Amino acid sequence: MTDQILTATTEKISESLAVVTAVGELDRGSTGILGGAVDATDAVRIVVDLSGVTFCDSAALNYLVQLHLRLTGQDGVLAVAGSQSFVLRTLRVTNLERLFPVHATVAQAVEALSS
Amino acid sequence: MTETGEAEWYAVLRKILNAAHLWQPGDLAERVDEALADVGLSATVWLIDYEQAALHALPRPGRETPAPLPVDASLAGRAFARVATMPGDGPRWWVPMVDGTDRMGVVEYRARGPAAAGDETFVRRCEMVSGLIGHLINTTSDRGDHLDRVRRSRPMSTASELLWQLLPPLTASCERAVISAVLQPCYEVGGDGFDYALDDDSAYLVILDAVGKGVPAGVACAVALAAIRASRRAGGGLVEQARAADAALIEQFPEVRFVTGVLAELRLDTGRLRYVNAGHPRPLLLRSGRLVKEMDAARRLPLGLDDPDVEVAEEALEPEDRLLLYTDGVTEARTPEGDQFGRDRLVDLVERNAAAGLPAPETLRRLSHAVLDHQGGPPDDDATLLMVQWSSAAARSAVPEGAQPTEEDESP
Repeated sequence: MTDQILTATTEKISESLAVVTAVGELDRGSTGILGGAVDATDAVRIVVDLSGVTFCDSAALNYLVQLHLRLTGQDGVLAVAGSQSFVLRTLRVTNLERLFPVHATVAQAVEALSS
Repeated sequence: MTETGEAEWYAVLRKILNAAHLWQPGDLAERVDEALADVGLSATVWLIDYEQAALHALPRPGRETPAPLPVDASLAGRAFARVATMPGDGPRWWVPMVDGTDRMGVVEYRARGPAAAGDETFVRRCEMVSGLIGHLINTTSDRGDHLDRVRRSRPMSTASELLWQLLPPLTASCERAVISAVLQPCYEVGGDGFDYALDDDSAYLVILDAVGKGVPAGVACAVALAAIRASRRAGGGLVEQARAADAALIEQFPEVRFVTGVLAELRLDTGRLRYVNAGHPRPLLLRSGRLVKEMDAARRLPLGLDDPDVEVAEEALEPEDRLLLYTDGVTEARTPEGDQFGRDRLVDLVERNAAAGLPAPETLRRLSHAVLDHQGGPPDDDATLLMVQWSSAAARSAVPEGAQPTEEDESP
């Protein structure tokens, strides 16, 4: 699972809103790369774009839950975008989509977080 | 031997029981063999390994230990798989050895001298002695490492060692139901676990899958399992049990570590099933060998994430129904090319094994081996299956022939 390296980039949309885009396989070994990209921004409203993520294990899900709890503790919010992927199915099975919103596209997620 | 009477067989039982008080695990094979000399038999005790692939003879001082026998390609394995005595040449008899309905291995009985044919009564008596040995292996095992070492084909990881200590026997039954489980990779389990309780009119079932791998995942699974057990033993219902797991995990892992799982209670008198699903793959309800429902209700967040909106769902089971719980390591097991094992293949295999009339623990053993074979290499994830069948007939088929009339296969 770890032969494909994950890339993660951060794009600031506004003072408090950022989009972090991950591409590749998100697992125990690569979740830190996503974490690094998230930590690179001081935004507290974060959209994590997982539409380019082809695999996502439970360690990655645990990271998203941690991030959600940290951001809500800072009056921020986490949204996940990329509903066409394997990831959404995993989020559905684990029921985590009840914890943080999951949007089909980054544009929808940004719009929801901007309103 | 057929003329050997009750008194001689009683003496065999007495000798074994008396010796068991002080024997060390390494003495068991010798003492059993000695006791059986009085009825003209010698016995070799074979234990099933953790992966349930082969039977291993208990070593004896000064004797060469026979090579392991594969379950899938030996008469001994057939006796183990079918929980039924298989006569072999020699003459000899391969007799299943269970503790309750938990399959421990087989006992190989051989005639010491020129022997009479083993009649029905003789075979029943051999099964009775095997039953006693099965119990004694269970109670003797914890005195030392000897018996457990025989069951291992390789060393076990710390997380696996932790989890196996925590789990109940793979199979347990009562007059009205049989519960059986299997867990792979048995020497390197990460965070999967299961539990059950058969009390009064209820069968409680729990399957768990902790996030991550290795010891941290094993500890999270252990914490959740212990919290659920403690709550249940204090009289807590399903919702309370889940909340107890939440509280214990949150206290133990401030940085968040969640565990998915299903907690269920099956009423053995009415077939009413109640369940809570904490972010886990949906339980499968199988009837007459077919999937009739993926149980989709009562979904809450994984254990360890406080969820105030917990609800309990209900389902009505019919006699003979099977309820199958599994972790995602089963359905998401992938071939090197990426082909997933999938739910349909799982259901299909249950159907085929059910049609073959195999005991529940054998069905699960075959399922788990099919998952391992599918991957063709070391698994990425734990794969656990837990099945309950609400059926007296199924419960009885997990018991050696002595306790039931049967049309068991003739020996090949």
